[in-house]
Amino acid sequence: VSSNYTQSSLGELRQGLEREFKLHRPFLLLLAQRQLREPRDAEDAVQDTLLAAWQTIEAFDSRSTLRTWLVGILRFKLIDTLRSSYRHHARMECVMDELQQQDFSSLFDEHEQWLATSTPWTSPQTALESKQLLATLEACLTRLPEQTGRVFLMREYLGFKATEIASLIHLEDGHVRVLLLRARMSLRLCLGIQLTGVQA
Amino acid sequence: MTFARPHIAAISCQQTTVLVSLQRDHDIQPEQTRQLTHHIAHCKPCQVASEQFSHLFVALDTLLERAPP
Repeated sequence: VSSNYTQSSLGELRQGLEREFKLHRPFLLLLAQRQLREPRDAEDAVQDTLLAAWQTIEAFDSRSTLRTWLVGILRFKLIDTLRSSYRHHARMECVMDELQQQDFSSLFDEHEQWLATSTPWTSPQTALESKQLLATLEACLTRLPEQTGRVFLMREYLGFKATEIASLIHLEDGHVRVLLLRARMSLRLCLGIQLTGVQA
Repeated sequence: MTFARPHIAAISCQQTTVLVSLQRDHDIQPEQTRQLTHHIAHCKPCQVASEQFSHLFVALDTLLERAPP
């Protein structure tokens, strides 16, 4: 997924940018759609990101990958947008309906001990295996319930603290922590099924 | 001179998963960290689950292009 360019090959980089942007656009859109309710806003955020990247490509640090750079630009655009829009548009409906949706207590017995020891995962041994793991995780992320995914990426991608998230979307701190836990449990289960073929 | 080991209150596997999540968010108290470490050291299923969460967190950091939160 990554591409390495040097500053000295700027002309070459510009030529390849359009192709690279197409490659990375779906993941950028996934991240934006999880944060911005209106599809058009998400499209705009991604478009703004790509435009900013195009206009400031000279600032691209060759020590990172283009993907890292784009994801970083989008991160700041989303944080700015969220900090301004959530203040004016309280989303009271956010996540409340999901609190009852997923219950992981079925994984534990009456003493809250695991019902079964899950199959250990093996670390990726090759670049291809690492790439496949990330592709699987990306697919698992898309399966999170919409509101859970939004809260989870506010934490894991945008870097908001749980208390900040609670404040921004008008939830109790505890609800945010429950949603973060549920997202992590869901992703672990999803990855486990993909990696081992059995429910973790 | 000997010192008695401080008592560490037992926690369940389900509570352990909660603490793993809180630890990821740097939202965990020192006493909870001790409980978490103690439980995982003595519980095979939680050792496996903890390693799986570690794999997940590393993959997330890579996918989302950021340092651990």
